[in-house]
Amino acid sequence: MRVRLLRSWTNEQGTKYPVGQYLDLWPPFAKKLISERYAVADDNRYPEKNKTKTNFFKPK
Amino acid sequence: MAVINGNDVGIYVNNQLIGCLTANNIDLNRELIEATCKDNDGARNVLLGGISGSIPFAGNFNAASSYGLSQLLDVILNGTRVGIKQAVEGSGGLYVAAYAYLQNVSWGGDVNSPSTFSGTFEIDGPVTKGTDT
Repeated sequence: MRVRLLRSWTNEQGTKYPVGQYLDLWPPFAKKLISERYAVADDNRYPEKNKTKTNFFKPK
Repeated sequence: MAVINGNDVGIYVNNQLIGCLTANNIDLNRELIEATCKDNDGARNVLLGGISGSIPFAGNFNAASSYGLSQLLDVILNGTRVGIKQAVEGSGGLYVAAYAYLQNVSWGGDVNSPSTFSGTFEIDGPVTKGTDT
């Protein structure tokens, strides 16, 4: 599950990630960070899938 | 029947997904202790031993990965015992979890191909399974 950090976060190895960093996390752990307001879920992992298809045959 | 796409099965090190993987496995092995004797009339008899396992993986080196080759090199150089999960991405996904040491890492740079990395985690301690809630 991809999240975007709202606060800087340091992992267990000591690597520090800055605000705004995108992280791919195990979903339950991601939910824990979200509940602690460290991060927000990022729904745009595959942004091309979210694009609205243009309907060329739609009458104007 | 909902077949799981292999693309959705990843390896998490301390809850962080290893980026840009191309292949990953978790191989579990139950030791069987030979206990056959003549009284078994030719049948095999075994005692259960411990479970061992390894987690081989391979991927393309992407410097933009939030967890990738650089972090894996730290793990092997520092000899860190890490929590490993192989899990299906998504709610209700199956996972297998264990603690492990990174036993080997390879980093390749062949001509006209992506730079690759691979390695193997060796499980240390018990193995558990569950589903993401």
